[in-house]
Amino acid sequence: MQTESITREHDIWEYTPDMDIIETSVLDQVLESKQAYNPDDYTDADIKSVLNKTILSPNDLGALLSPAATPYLETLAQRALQETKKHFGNTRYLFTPLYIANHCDNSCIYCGFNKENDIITRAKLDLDAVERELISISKSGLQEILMLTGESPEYSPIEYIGEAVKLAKKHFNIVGLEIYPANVADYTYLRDCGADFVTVFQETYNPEIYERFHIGGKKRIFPYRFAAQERALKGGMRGVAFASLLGLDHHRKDAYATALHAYLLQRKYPHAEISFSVPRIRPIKGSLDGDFYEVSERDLLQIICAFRIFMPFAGITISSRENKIFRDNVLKIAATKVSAGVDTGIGAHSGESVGDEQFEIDDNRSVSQMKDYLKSAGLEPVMSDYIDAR
Amino acid sequence: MNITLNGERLDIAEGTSLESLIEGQGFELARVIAEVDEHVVSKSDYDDYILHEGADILVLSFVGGG
Amino acid sequence: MNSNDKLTIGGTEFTSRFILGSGKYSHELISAAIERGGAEMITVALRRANTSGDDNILNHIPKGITLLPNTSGARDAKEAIRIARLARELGCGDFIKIEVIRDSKYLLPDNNETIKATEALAKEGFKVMAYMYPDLNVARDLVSAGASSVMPLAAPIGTNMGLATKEFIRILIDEIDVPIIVDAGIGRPSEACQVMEMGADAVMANTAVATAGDIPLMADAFRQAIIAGRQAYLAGLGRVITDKAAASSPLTGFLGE
Repeated sequence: MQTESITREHDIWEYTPDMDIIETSVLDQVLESKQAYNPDDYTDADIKSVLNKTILSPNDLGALLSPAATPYLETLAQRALQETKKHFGNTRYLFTPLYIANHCDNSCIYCGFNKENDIITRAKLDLDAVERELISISKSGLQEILMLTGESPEYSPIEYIGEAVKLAKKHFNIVGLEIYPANVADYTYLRDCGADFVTVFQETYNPEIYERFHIGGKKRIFPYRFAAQERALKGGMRGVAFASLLGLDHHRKDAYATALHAYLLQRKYPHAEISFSVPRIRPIKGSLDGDFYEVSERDLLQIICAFRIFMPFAGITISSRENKIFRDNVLKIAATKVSAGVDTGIGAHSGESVGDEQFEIDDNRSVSQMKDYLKSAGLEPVMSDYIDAR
Repeated sequence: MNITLNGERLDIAEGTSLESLIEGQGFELARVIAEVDEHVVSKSDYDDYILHEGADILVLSFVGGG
Repeated sequence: MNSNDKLTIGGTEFTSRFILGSGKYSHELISAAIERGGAEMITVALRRANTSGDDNILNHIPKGITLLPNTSGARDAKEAIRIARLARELGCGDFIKIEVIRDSKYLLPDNNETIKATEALAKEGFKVMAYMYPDLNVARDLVSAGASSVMPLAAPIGTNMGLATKEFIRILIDEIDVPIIVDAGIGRPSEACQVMEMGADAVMANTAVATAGDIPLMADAFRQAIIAGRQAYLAGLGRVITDKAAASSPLTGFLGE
């Protein structure tokens, strides 16, 4: 089915014929729980009770995300720090994102890459250009790369991504992918090319809001996007990352659903490495109109601490969309992975800028500047602690 | 003919059924189960099951255990 | 005791969370122990019958008590399967406790053989309760193989050593969805209480009762301890944190306002 034909009339639950359909027990559970979750239900006494526990249930997560926990933010942060120390010590991982294409078939109201946006310049790096970017980045000493494309199978087909992954694996130890949701066989292929992790942002776990913001393209199909991480794991990926774009729906609710999604998948696929990102809706060039919930830094910190306490072994990545002060402090508490040397424009790293960026960055420290900061904070920057033995 | 019962040699009449052997030996039929040549014999078949020469029979019951 | 808080194993509901073992003490005391212990399930073993007029154990187990035959004596999956089939033929139900032990010094269970036996017997319709050494991966495999319950040991059988494997039992309680019944090694009612407080679904004890000075009284002590532990778990443990203020050097001061 041509993606042009997926418009706002398309039912968000209707898969296209080329989409893998897997069983939906995790989806059903997340939606049901999210529906039942009311952040205002929790009391001061609940928070104290949860903080006494070592192993938290999803209901406890709900308590930590609630307004009743906000006055306890310092206590949450102290507890989160303890958990980070237990599971990660002082280690903080560095990586950088590399956008190899920004063509996109979707029309997501909040995003600068959306199909209707004529202001930005579209580009796609050919494989030689990709390799030049990779070489340039690897000079910084980074060992982990996250490769991104906009969501367009036509401009960025799986084979193209696979070839890019192979190039990336020549220069980097760990290759993460943030691409359009794909089928199990595609993930198997990409894994065989050398990809290790897959990141998919669900954006929002509220189907009504999801429908409102995703008005065109395959992304419109909610359950297919939701199941991407599970398909990636079935395809053999080592780990998966989860996120909501905080502010589309009420952030406490979407944060709850995000962590529950990860929790249920981890129980179903115990070997999977889990991580979270916590993007907030931020200023962008050429986005369509939309109204959002406001997510303050205090809110964001509460969410990060709640995730850390609920799933202490999961990674938490803090992106360069947040400002330096916030990033610096959150790295001391609960974030375990941070990007450095970031430019989200296409071809930017090797000085051959050809395409526009997805969003503005607020912290553009280089890799060595980030390493210096981490060391000064008593933290240990790590490029990679992994060997791909395949 | 010769058979073995719980490790001991016994001489029994040809055509003896499992049930008559068990009862004849003094076991309480309702409280035991028998295995012949390492095969479980279903309780309902005991009266029809005719023993052959050299059969190796184990008669078992529940005892105290943790 | 909250009669709504039932324990369901293999589709059968129990009110009591105390499973009693019948080994190492005289038959005559078994019914008193069952009664005072409030146990609704009791384990038995399968051995060669004798005709010397020894009174059969089943004569001492009240009607309505669920029998849980164990496969003790089995040193591998094949033997366990054989014993299970024999036990079922005695017509006392489908429950079977798989115990595969090929170490006669510590009597530690063989996890791998237990998985194999579980898979075979679950397919034949047994309600398998698998006695194991607490290993999360093995517990997951047992659940996939069809176990109705996982029974991690607290300490080696007969040692009354207490909760040597406590933290690993805690992990199973958190991660495994079928009932976790702590078996072996519990020496005191307080240990049974503690493990129920942690969230275990039931406790099994044999030696601790069998070697007590007053067996029915000890069975009663276990009964009460298990109820107390369960209640504490349901009630939610008390609070230690009393105020919102935190340590002297705040991590969140940077947020301002």
